[in-house]
Amino acid sequence: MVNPQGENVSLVVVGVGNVGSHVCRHLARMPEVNRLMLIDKDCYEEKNLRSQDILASDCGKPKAVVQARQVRRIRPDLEVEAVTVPVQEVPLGQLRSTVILACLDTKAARQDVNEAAWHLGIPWIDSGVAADGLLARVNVYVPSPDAPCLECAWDRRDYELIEQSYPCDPDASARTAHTNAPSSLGALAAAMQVIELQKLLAGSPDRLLAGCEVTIDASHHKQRVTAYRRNPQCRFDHAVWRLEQLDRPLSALTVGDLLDGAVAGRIPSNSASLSAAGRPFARRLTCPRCGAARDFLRLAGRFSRAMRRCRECRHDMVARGFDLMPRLEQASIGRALARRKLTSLGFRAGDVVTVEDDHTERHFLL
Amino acid sequence: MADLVLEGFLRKQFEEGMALARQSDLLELIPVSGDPARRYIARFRCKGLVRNPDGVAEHNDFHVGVHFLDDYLRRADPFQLLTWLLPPHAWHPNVNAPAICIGKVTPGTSLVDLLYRLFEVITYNKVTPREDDALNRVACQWARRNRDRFPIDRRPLKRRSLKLRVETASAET
Repeated sequence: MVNPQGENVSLVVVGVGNVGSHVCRHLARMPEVNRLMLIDKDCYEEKNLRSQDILASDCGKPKAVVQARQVRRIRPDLEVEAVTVPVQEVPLGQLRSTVILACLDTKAARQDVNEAAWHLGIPWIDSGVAADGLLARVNVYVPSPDAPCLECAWDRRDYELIEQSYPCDPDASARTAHTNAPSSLGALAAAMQVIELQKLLAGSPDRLLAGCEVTIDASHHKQRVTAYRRNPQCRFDHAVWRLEQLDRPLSALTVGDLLDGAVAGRIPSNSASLSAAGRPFARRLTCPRCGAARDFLRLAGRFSRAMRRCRECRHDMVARGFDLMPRLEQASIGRALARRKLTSLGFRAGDVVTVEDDHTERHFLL
Repeated sequence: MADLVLEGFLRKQFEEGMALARQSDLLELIPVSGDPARRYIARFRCKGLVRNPDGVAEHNDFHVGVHFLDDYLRRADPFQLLTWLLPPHAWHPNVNAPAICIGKVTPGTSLVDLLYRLFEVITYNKVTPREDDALNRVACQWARRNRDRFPIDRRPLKRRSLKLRVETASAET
């Protein structure tokens, strides 16, 4: 049972487009919901008027902000937060909630939600529509090491279909095929998704869809239920993390504090290493125009524009793939690095830092 | 902690990659770090092109870095996977150090596959002169005008074994 006391239900909705805009209306009408976080990096466009639950005046505005305002109109006392960055940019700890609802149109973003939900140990409900066959679908995932995840059902073909931007065509991932589903189909998937959410919150185990998929084939009036099993060859590690809180504020924490066990309360070991929930560290920036390089240790993707600017030619510098490190190793870091503040490496509140050695692994919420 | 699926993958890449390098006169594969190796320098001694002050010239030593990150079986970011290391002024529509483009890369693509695709790019065995998806547009225009020169190197990456059996003829007496 997800929510035994029926109190303090907080939900995260990732994507508020064709399905998500309809989901928001239903969530605003659920009295048991106390807090909502709406995540979407895009703005509404005119073509969305046909497929999403919005007004003409919403075009050009950030989707998450528009939906947050609508939800507040229905329920002014509901605490709503609008987040306008891609879900993989949101620090993992900020996604902590009772259930995550994914209303997305890319495999890549679903993969991000699956990973976050598993590490946080939070159930998530996926939804999808296929306009061609008038199909609407929901999947319910309840994380545990032995439960099926999104990727358990994936084969090589699915991995080939993951949206990707590559050097010759950096915008390729932005040009994913739009679902173009009618508003009615999005509303159908949204209703199915919220019904499963309500069952999950009510904790009726016999009716729960954990590990299953329900598809409604609206063109042939058929419904199909598929149960998945944990795939032992799944490429995702299925690790559910127990997040520990630190008694020191993030602003005071150094790399050494975590690695030598001062705060982590563990025996210092030479094989200890520190990592940031899959985000690698860059140790150098290189200018693609003039070739100048600058040593600069920081989490990849957390460089400000000023940090990236080349001192020689003012072009944007990049972190070469070869200069990335998945983790900082105790054995190879110097004293200066041990004294570095985590904030100076680009860590933010809500990030999760993992300290591990050969035998143990601990996860701290910053 | 150990991710057995990834570890198995990395060991297999090491074996297959080193086997290919042994069978090639044009490739040297240098594992740089990790056990099993996660970072390699692939050194191609095939013919390709560089831009010198006096123009476009042939060159026969190219270094590309290959780096398998923790989630390579699940997501592949070609920027993070491949790094053009040397020479800095390679002349190719798909190369602009540190970036090299071999097209879309499916997560879990094998090292041998990557090495073949890199080889095809460096030697101009595969070149699509389209400015809209070129990393070096000037090289792209140049390539369109000089198509008859490609490929720059026609030798195969893997040594061809002829398996000839040589027998000494013994005269019948």
